[in-house]
Parts: sequence; structure tokens; C-alpha cells
Amino acid sequence: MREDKVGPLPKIIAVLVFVFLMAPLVVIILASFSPTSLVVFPPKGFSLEWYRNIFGSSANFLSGFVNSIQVAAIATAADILLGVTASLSVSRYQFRGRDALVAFFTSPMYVPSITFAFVLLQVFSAMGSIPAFWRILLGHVVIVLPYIVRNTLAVLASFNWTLEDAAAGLGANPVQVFFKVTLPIIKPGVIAGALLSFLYSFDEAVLSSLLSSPKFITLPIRIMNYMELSFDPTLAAISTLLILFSLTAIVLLERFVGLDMFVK
Amino acid sequence: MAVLELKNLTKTYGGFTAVDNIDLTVRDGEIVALLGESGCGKTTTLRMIAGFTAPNGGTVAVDGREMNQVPPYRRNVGIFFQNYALFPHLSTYDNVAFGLKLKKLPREEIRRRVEDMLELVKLTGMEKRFPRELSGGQQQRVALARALVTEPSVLLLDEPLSNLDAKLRAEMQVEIKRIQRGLGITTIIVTHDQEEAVSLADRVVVMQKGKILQAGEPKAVFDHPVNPFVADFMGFSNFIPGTVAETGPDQVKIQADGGALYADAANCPGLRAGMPVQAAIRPENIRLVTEGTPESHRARLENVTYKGNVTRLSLTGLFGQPVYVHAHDYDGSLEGEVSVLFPRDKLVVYPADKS
Repeated sequence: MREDKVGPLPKIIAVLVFVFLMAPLVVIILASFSPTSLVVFPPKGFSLEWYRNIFGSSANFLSGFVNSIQVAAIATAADILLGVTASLSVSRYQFRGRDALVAFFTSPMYVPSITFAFVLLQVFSAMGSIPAFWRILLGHVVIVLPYIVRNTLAVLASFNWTLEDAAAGLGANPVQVFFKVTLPIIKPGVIAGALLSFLYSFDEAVLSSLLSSPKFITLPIRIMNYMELSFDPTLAAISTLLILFSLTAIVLLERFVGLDMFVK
Repeated sequence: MAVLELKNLTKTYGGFTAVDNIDLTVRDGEIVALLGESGCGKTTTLRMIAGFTAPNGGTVAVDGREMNQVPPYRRNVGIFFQNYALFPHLSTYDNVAFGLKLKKLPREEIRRRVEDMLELVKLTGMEKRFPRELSGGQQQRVALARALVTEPSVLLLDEPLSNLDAKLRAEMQVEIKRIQRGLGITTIIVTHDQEEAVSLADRVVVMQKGKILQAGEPKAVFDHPVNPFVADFMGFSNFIPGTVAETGPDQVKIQADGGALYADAANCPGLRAGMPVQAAIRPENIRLVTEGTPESHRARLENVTYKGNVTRLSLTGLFGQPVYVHAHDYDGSLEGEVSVLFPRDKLVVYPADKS
């Protein structure tokens, strides 16, 4: 670290950016403990009433949370399977159209999700009555795939393929080669991608709002619906819990894989 | 304990023939070196023996059993990779134990065999280290231990000494031979280094453009290369063009530009008077003599390069081209005109058109 080389101006900018990023979070967390029904700052007193309200309110936040977790977990699991195999095939073999295939796997990242949601809605309504759970899940499987593919490709770029020959030479069949050599070595990238996918799916609102039905609503949509009617600190309370949730996920990631994988 | 047989083995990539109809039999317990420049097909041959590359024609057989349809993981071939290919996520112990664990051997037997093998390659005490915590020489010995511990019927070594410094090379040369002899494993070494080949192998096979040019005992290949290419590869760096002046029962006289050379008739069969030829000799076999004799030649000392164990002298004014001499006892006193002798038993002569 060459701390002495950093002038006062960059320091001031860094602090301002940090404040800009953190201040809203601090306001929300403090507001969530406010006893008043309007969000005021600084809060007058302390209360856990809004946290109680999350579980008690007719907005059904809890069922939304469970639905979101379900979708995020299943979509991520499916994409680990799809994304890792797709990444392996384009990394291991050189063939015509390889780059086009990589672009295709990652294209959901570049297509505006509102466009994609609209197209998906058309397709689903043409197909007839498909439960909202499946509509949202399928949509998420598509839009979340790039995160796993990109992270897996990044670790595979430096993978030494001779290791697979070495394992085969020692008597490992292709399945054993994958589980005993390839997967353990690329695991950090896969986990990082999976976590990004999970958080993205959990947080996703554009696609879910178009594809949800009264029977199946995810948490972000519950929050948006609630916001249309009231603006009390229940939202601050639920936001605080979500911040805590994301933070825990990132700390776990840092613990097991290292955050540098996350930035790549 | 196995006999390895390659028959008409061929591999083409598109229009390029990497390995061209090779026949080779490696006897039980023998070490054979495949020697050649990069791209000569030696590595492709190795990969076909291991099963990583499928031949377009011909067969690989171990103990008479054809292996073409057998996948690599059922071939029982031990492979040492040039870049070692140690599993970075596994410790030394687990790297070596990898193949034994796949065989589902009892834990106790695995432990015993891994430890015996680590002792053999002198790595006892390194069990818990990861590859990145080992030196290059240690990594190489782990790779060797891993290839040997499963008691393969055939051992394949890809450039086993190329990444080592001079001192370690000499040590490992002795080690590999000791271990291979002790276990009696049929072994193939792939290398581009003639010194590595002749020092390790019982038999050297020189390859070029997918074909075998010469196969024989190291000394035979080293001293009597069958053609100018092999000669060049084996370190005959002086090629002197000339014409056969006369052939006798014992010796052949070659008239070169600016002098005559004599070679043992045994080293140049099939020559007739008037034939254009190339006479080849190693730089270390040309002798500097203090007093000229009828057989010696006069040349001008142009350049002296000290190379450690030898001194490289560059001579001009002989045969219309530079001639290089490696002298072991050069004391630096010579300059100007020198006399050199071309020992007739060290000259090999090839018809000129066959290069």
C-alpha cells in the first residue's frame, strides 16, 4: 500500500461516494425502528412494531419470501447444471461457432428484461394456462444463466486440461474425472456465479411483476404492491432484513471462496 | 511387465500426417526413447499409446491384446506429463494415492504403497504439502511417484528431464533409471534431447515427419547415424561436401574442396568412386595436432568460444566452409594457422542426394 501517494482530493471523493452509498441504508435501518407510522428522520423513539407488522400484515410478506427463495434456489440449481456443462463444452472443445455460442449463453444479460418479459408473456399466454410459479421459474432460469456461465468460463480459462488426461491415465472414468478433478478446481467460480444468480433472482422484479398471478407472488412484487397503498416503516423493516440477508450471503461467500472471485 | 507393440500406427489431422505407419516393439522391461524435433510425431505416438488420441490406422497392443477400443482409464498405463499435471487441490499424499483410491484398495494398503513410493522418490515428510509448495524437482518426483504407484504395465515419460537444471537433471537421470530397473516396467520416453535419450534408454528411436528413421542401441545411433538428418540430430554438426575419389577394402578416400579425407570403409557402405557425398563428423572428434602429418589439414583459427567443459573453435580455410572443433584441453595458446586431424573411424559418409 502506498498510502502516502494518495492526495486529499481522491480521499474526499472516496468518502463522498461511500457516504452516498451508505447513507440511504443507514436511514432505512434507523427508520425501521421508528415508533411513528410515517418515515421520519431522525426517528423519535424506538419500536419493533414494524417488524411485527411484516409477519402480521395482510401483505403476506412471508409467503412472498418463501416463493422468492423457492424460485431463486431452483433456478440457480438448474442453471448450475446448465451453465457448468455449457461452459465446459465451449472451453474444452474448439469448434466453429464456439464464440457465437458463448455470446448466446450470455445474451440474456444484454437483452432488456422488460422486453424479454413481454415476449415471454406472449409465449405463455399463447400456450394457455401455465402456473405463475413455472412462468417465473422459467424466466429466471434464462435471465440468471449468464452469471453462472461467465464465472465458470473465467475459472476454466486458466484450467489445465492435461489434469483430466492425468486423472484418466490413473484410472478415473469421465464421471470420476469431473467430480474428483475438474469440479473441485473450478468450484470457486461456480459458487460465486451461483450466489450472484441466487441474489439476482431473489431480487428480480421486472420479469416477476409481469408473469406473477394472485396465486403466486414473489417478495419484490409483494413489496411493490404494498408500497402502492402505504408507505409506513414496514418497508424499512423488511429492507433491513433483506440487507442482512444479502450481507450474510456475501460473508459466507467471502468465508468459503474469497471475495476476489466475486469481483472478476 | 508387458510387451508393447505398435503396428502400422498412423494418425492424420486433416491433410497432415502426424504419425506415419509406425512399427515398434518394446520388450518387457525395456526403456525405449522416441527422439525427434517438436512436430515429429513422438508426442502423438505417446498419446495414442495412452489412449488419449485415437489412431486412424494400425494398432496398439499390450501383451498381444489390442488396445484401440480400450479407453485410457482401463489401459493401466502410467503417464508422466511434461508439465507434471499434479492435481493442485490435492496434497502430495493424495496426488500419489489418487490412482490407488480409484482402485478401491484397502486404506491400509494405500497408505503403505504411497509411503513406499514416496520413500523411493525421496519425498518422505512431504505428504501434506500441496504442489504449489514444492520445488520443481520435488513436483517432478511426485509426478513420477504418482505414475508408478499403480504398478502400470507400461510407463510413458514425456520429456522427463526437460524442465530441470543441469544438476537436477543428472540426479534424476540416475533416479529414473534406478527406479525403472527396480520395478522392471516397460517404458517409453519421449524427448527432443539426444543426451536424455542416449543416457536413459536401452534403445533409441529417431523420428522425423511421423516416420522412424533409425532405431537401435544408443551407441549405434550415436556413432553411426543412418542418414544426414539423424547425424545432424545426434550432434554431427560438420558436414563436408565432396566426391568419392577411390574405395578400398579398409578405407574410402573423399576428395573435398581443398583437401582429401579418409574414412573407414565400414562407416560408409555402398559408395562408388565418383559419387557425390557428404562427410559428417562431430566437433569433439576433430583433433588439434601440434605437428602436421600427411593426413592432417591446415586451417586458420577464426574464433574461440569458451563453453565451460569444452572450447568451441571455429576454423576457416578448410573445404570452403567453416569447420567447428570442440576441444577439451584447449589452453588458449593457439592462434593463426593450426593443424587438425579427422580420425578416419569418426567420419561417416552419406551419398549427397539422400539428405
